[in-house]
Amino acid sequence: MEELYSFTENLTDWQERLLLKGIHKFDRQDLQELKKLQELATEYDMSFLASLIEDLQVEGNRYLQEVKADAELLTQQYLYVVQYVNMMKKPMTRSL
Amino acid sequence: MADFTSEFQRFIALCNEEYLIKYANKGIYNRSIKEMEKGMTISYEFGDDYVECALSDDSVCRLHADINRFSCSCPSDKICKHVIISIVYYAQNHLQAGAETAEELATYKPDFSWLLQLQPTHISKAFTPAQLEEVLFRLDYLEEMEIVETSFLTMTLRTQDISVSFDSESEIGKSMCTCKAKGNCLHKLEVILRYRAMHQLQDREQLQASVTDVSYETDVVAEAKSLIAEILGIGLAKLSQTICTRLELLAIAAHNGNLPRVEKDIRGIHGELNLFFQRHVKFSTEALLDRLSRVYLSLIAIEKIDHTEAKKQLLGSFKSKYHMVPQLSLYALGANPWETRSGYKGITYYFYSLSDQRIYTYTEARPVYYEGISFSFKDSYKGKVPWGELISMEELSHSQVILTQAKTNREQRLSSSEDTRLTIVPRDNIEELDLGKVLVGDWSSDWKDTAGDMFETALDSVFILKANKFNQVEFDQKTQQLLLTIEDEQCHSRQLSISYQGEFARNIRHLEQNKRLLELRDVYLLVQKIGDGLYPISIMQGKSLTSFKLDL
Ligand SMILES: [Zn+2]
Ligand SMILES: [Zn+2]
Repeated sequence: MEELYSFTENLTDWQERLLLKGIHKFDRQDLQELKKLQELATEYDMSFLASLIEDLQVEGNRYLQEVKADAELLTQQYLYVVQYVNMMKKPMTRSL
Repeated sequence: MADFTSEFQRFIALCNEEYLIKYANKGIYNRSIKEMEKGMTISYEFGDDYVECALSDDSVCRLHADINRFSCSCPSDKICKHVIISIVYYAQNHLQAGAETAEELATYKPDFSWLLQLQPTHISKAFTPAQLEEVLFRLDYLEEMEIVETSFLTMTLRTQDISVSFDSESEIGKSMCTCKAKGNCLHKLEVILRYRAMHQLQDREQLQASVTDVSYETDVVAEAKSLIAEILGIGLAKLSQTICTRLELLAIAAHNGNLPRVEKDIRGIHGELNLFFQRHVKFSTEALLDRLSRVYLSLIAIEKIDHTEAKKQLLGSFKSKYHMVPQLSLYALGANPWETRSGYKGITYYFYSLSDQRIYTYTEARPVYYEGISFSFKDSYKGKVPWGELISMEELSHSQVILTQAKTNREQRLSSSEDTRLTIVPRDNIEELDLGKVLVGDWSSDWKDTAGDMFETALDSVFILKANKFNQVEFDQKTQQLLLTIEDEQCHSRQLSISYQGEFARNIRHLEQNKRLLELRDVYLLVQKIGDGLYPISIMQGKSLTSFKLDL
């Protein structure tokens, strides 16, 4: 349970770091972190989340490789992950 | 020719006193009769579809077999005494001539069945979409309608004190309403639909379909999406404060485009970002991120959806519209002050509507993050009600009133409309009211969960609990909440909490120290459910009421 908690914390931390620096600055290091998070998600049997993170990596990769890539799909995929994680956390952190 | 003559005679036969007074007015009618009785004579000359009437006072007027078509040599452009005299004189002097016609006319009975034969498409064409929407909303409310059949079918809406008369000619445009508005007014539509409903004709679905042309601004949705993408793209670290102005402009565009839901979302983001720029302690990255993602994904959903009804739901345009309700009988349930993370402050007043057994709210709120805008709970509470300024909001929150011409939306929020009038009536004992579903009797079951969003304060789940007694009142240091344990007749207990807020600290201390709560028996509590917590707003017994945060 504690490990799971720290996993969601790590995921949230990464999300918040990206919010701070901006999606336009998405880089290789983000890809690496996502890869690690995806593996952990699989390990905890959260296959849907893992697939969401995987899609996010695909979009991230595309964004980094295409010269004139726009960030729309990357943004959308990022927000899907954010929403999903928030949904997971809701029962634990609901407060006034 | 012969045809027109009998048509004209039939028309004349219809023109009894009542009919003429309705079309002209009593004054003109009486004057006309008087003048005629002084010894006026008239000669008639029939044309193809008209009769030329030469009056002995030298005026000449022309009549058709239709009360709306006439002309006269006198300057009046409305129905004049000459026209009336010509009609009445003909009826008295010429109509009885043919016995056959008279007999036929005596059995002639006006027929109003055309009102029931109208097609919904015909009705929707005669009125504007706004009128249709307004009246479809009103049909949910009870209205006493009186129906009288003479040579007219006259329907009177009792609470609105409005009468509409139809004749047997099948045209909505020819009906008359006492509101005297030009063209087809709301009342005509309302009586037609109520009359048809009484005859088991259900038009709602078809009419509803004709008003669901979603007039939403695609541009606003696209712009909102791209602005959020821009915020996320640049990142908070480099974000310029000018984004606030752009959000505000967009919120205004959303407001003008009738996209209240989008407007609210944009203002919510604006509020969170304001906290960020102010380095406010209440700022939370998590909350901002949650909001950005929810709004962005819902905007994507709006773009994708084809179904107009669902689109309207998402845009919120359907929900926020205010409609006039002729009369509401409201029993005040107390008031609750609140403050949101996005920087809104306000007081929400709760009422129980005796006729439709639902809770209505009225909210007074301000965005306090703007410079120069402040909101004082006390000033707002002591301020006058918006409807006629008879009493203060504080008095209203302890009263029982009747609102006429009240404006409300589908979420039973009342607007501060200037047309609304308030009448104070003696307050009933809460014990004697039929509280319907608003009173939650079964404490053991789980209550329906509603999203407890800090930003959606007015639409929350609020209900009444009847408590046998208070078991415990104590302040919990850890959560900074005052905890009240109540018990019902079956000895089920529930915990209510009042969260500590600086401004209300005094009230909370008072509640904690005062042992009076523990002595109370059989009280009613208005309770708000947010998440899993139950938060009491007011306590009631007999005619008395105390709002926890405002009255102590
Ligand atoms: Zn005249
Ligand atoms: Zn009218």
